[in-house]
Amino acid sequence: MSEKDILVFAEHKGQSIIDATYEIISKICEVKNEDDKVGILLLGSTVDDSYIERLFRCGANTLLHYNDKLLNEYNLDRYSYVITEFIHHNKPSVLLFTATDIGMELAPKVAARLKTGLTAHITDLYFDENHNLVQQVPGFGGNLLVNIICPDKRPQLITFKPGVFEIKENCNNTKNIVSLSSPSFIPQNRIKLINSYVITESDQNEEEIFKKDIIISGGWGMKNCGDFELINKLAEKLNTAVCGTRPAYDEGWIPENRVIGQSGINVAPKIFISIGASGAMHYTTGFSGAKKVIAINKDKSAPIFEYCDLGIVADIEVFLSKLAVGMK
Amino acid sequence: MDFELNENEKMLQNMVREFAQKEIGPLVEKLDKEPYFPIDIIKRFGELGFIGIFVPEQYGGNDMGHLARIITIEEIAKVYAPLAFFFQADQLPLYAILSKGTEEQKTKYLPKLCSGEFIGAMAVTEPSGGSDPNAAQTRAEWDGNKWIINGRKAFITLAEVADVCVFTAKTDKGLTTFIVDRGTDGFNIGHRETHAGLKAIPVSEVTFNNCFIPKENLLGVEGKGLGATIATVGAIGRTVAAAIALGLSENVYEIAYKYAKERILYGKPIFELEPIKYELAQMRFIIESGRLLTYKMAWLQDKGKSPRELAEDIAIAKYVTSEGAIKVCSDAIHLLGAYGTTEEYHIINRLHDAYDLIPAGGTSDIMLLTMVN
Amino acid sequence: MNIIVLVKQIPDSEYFSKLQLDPVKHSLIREGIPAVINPADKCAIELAISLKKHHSFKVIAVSMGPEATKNSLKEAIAMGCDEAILITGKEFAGADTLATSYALSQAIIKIHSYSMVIAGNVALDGSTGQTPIQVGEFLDIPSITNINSLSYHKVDNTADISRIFRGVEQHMKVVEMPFLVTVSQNFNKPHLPSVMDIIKASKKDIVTWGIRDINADKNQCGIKGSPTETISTTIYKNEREKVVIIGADKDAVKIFVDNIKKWLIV
Repeated sequence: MSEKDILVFAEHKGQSIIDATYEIISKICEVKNEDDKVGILLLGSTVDDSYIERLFRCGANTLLHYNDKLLNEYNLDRYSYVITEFIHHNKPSVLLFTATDIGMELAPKVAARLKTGLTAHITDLYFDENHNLVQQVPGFGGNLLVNIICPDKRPQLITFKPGVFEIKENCNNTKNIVSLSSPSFIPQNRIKLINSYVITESDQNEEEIFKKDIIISGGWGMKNCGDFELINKLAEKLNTAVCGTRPAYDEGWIPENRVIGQSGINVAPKIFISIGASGAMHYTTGFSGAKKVIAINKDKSAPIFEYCDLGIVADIEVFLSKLAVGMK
Repeated sequence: MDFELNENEKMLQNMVREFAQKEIGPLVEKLDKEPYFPIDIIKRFGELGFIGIFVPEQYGGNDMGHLARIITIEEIAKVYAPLAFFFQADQLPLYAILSKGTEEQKTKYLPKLCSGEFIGAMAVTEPSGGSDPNAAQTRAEWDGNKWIINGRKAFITLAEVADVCVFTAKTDKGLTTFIVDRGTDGFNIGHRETHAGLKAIPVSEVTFNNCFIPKENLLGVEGKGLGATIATVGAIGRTVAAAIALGLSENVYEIAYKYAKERILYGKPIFELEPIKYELAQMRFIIESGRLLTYKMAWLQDKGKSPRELAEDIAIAKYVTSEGAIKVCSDAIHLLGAYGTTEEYHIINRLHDAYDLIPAGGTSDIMLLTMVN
Repeated sequence: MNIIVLVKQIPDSEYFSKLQLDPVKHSLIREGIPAVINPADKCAIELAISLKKHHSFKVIAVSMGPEATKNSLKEAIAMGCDEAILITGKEFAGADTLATSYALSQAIIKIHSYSMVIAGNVALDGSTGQTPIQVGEFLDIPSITNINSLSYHKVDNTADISRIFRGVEQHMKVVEMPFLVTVSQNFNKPHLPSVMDIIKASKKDIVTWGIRDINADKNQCGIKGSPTETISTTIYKNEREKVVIIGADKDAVKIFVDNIKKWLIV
């Protein structure tokens, strides 16, 4: 790799590569200089060809593939070791991760091993004249926008939250794959994984949410309005997906991967409808990218009304029942 | 003069504020609509150490002092004044037994009062009046073996739920204080009062009908009860009322301020209008002056000054804050226009609370008389 | 046996929407904004205290920050920590997560003997969530983020930990100490210290350590040790229309439906 090269860590799940990886590739291709090259780092041998081909359609130039079945299962220590070994031998300018469960622990560990800078959850970025990536991040709950650079250390590490950028597949780069053999690594066995079981719906559903034009989200205010029954009915009518606040998850009305906000997911649909949530800032930051926001709450002083385009102050049950009638 | 709270007092203030907002805040709506005595919150007062905050450690208290006591009550009143009124009654017997009690009485009652296991009340006021405690008609006769009490007390806060009650009665030697335990034969709770304010705290009549009180329940010296009673009412009854009135005013000011900033008239918030600013400024002035007087009063208590020495300071603080609270509430009601007395804003409830703080510990007229001697 | 809790003092998040920038220095104006313990860190303290109660650990709270951070460390002691250490000095100012993690790990190395490090998973001001993992890396100890539960077994000095990772509930056993875990602000309900706790805490001193005390290289601390730097800060102004209707009458329903139709087309 050359010193201007961009490396993207591809996050895979079984046969597929997650959408967020393609979002990163699309965005970085949008902002890079024409002759900057984009390499994709993939660990493991399970990924299907169709997902690999999609990498090149989004703008990747080379796939750097550690096609090693020992790397099929994610392991923090093993992955960070392999990645830092790669970086030591090739010195890219930039290394990008998804801000997912994996990325949020892998990226900091790699950054510490390389003693370089890491910026998390960027909302925008561009290259300056020195090929420094200017990274825009929200701070203080989204009330501040901060521009950060990593002027001296390389690579510049960045994480992207899923659902912030669009996937654009309009390149026809040649499929250039480099097979790499992974360095030998002796794992430490200070932690033993005893057992694990899947508790949420399959990954296909997980990513569907980011494709919806309308998303409805309910909060704790639904407790005295028959829980999420009315919301689920409205979602059915509008053919949309249901999300919620963390308290909604605590009440068991939504699964964990549908929690919106700082401790959950970010969504940017055409229309975001928030019902019965007061609008705490760690929640509103989860939909700041939505084109339009509608809020329904019975308390007119609820902060959510500062973050909506259309707000309705009304008894939720009454309004939703009238809405059901009015939408027939 | 250092007008700053010290590190501990600030930590205490933050803790009580968080407690009040998180644990009392969610109950305000319900408590104003259908008032009830929230025993769970009272238990929390005991658990967190609020009740005995001025009582020495050896008797189950925290020995943090009177300024700490006032700050605690103010923060609770900022969220819900009626629950702060609990202290106005509960801390009276605590102070009385602490200052005049024998070692046995102190060890028997103080730790349980401090922990909240016991609730206390103090019965001084009679149907004939409370401003003149010496005119009590309740009699205590000594039959050689025990005291026999006959009489009636009126407007006794917490009597209905109290485990222990300090009360005054006239013996041949003069006004005397005694302790009565709940369930004592002849000691009965009468009808419940129906004040417009402070409804979450029960106030009722108390009757003594040939009630037998053992000799070890005599509190202090026979015939010397008047001084002890006035001292207790001053040190606790009035100071707590001042702290509650202060917190209540701050609560209502915040509601009015927020409303003024949000309510749009002629295209901008009414906060920008001169008369509204003026009204809010008057409220601020009452609160700031009230706070200085109240904190100074408590600070002097911590300096070891007796209630008698502090009689004027206490009276001024109580007068300014309690009369001020009524003004703050009525001004806020004016400011809110048609919303002024609606349930939604709770100000009308707070106005009722403020009116009921006036007779607590002595009416404004008594405060004025005390101020100028 | 020691448990180390990492604590960060941040501006009270209730005030985040009222933040202002100094027009000359372009830095945040912090005057008038109360400072609090980061909520997830309070949960970390609460977990450490409950382990202390059941297994007699000694709990040491560690923080890096200016002198004012002492108030938060006092609060940590009031919550039950046995000791509190503040890493402070001008050399540490302006640190990003890498420089912060370095300084914190140097302090932990100086403490030397510890079974676990517990930290909040993310601080509400910076929202990076990077520091604990980086501390774990510098200390070369295994790190498990966003745990759901932790139970320690004194009999064989192991710990059982569970967490949800990528939609899967994982159950793990730590067989060798020390290790690091992070908790979210929903992990538990931190208790309020009582008046007595506050009084006891006031009698304890906060230990302060400077750069020499923790044998830290000044080029790896503070601004000098920060690979990232902020080049500009702006207040985010949301441009929502904020049209609010009061009432659930049929006009409200019509406006709702019309807007959905209109916005879907765009």
